[in-house]
Amino acid sequence: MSISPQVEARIQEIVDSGHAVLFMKGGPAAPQCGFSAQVVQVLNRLLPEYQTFDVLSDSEVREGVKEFSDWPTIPQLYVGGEFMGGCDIVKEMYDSGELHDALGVERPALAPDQVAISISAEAEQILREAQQQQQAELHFGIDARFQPFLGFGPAAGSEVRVQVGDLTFLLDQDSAARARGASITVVQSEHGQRLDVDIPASGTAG
Amino acid sequence: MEITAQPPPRETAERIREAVAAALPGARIRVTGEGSHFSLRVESAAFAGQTRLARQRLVLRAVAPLMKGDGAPVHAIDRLETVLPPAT
Repeated sequence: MSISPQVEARIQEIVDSGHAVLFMKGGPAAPQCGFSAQVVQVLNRLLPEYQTFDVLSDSEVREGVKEFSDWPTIPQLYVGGEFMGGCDIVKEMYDSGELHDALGVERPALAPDQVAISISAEAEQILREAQQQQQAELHFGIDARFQPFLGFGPAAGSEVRVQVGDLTFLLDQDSAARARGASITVVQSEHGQRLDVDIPASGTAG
Repeated sequence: MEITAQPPPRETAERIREAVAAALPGARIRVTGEGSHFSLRVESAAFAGQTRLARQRLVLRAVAPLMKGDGAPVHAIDRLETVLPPAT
């Protein structure tokens, strides 16, 4: 089976529409597949913006891109017009720093003791209780747009571990570089308590 | 009414193994997984001098026919390890 010249031209146009272009299921805010979500998570650490194409919105591209790339699954990442691979390869390239190089992003280099996160007693208690319920590792991320993320889940193995009081935060390397001096506090809002993360590296308060 | 059952996972794993073995003669292949998600470890001399992308392509190209269409027996290869045989 081969794709029509029209579909091929359309896919080439999408590939050429940006430096980093991700063919995925769903959009970056709401990926419709775990593998697409994992690639979005990695790219968000590195790039404030990138192109995505939702293959669920277009069955011609969905089937065509598999032939185009000679790769049977979605997601598929292109950088500078060159096919990088799927989820597995993107994660491996991230861990080795090759993805930073391909995207022209500087590789972060720092020791865990340089990260220095501070946390209020109240916030620490909330996270400690949540962790006891979840029985999982505590992840702290700061993406390339300086959006913080706190959540529970298994460790990937390549994270930086930062001990703060009784808590151990797991950060990917890029988040760790942005987390220097970050502070986690509890703020009261009309809906009750919520955690607030202040990130000095973002250059803005709050 | 006739009900067509999904083939058991064991059978699908065997079909993956056969497909990869046909594409990479002499390869040592381990297929693990259940349902429509599988992990593969393939050891083959054919990987010598090949990039990670090229190695994965060699394997995935062989599995691709089992992944085509909505009712495909294989939805995803969760993990694909491609290694060279140990030097003798």
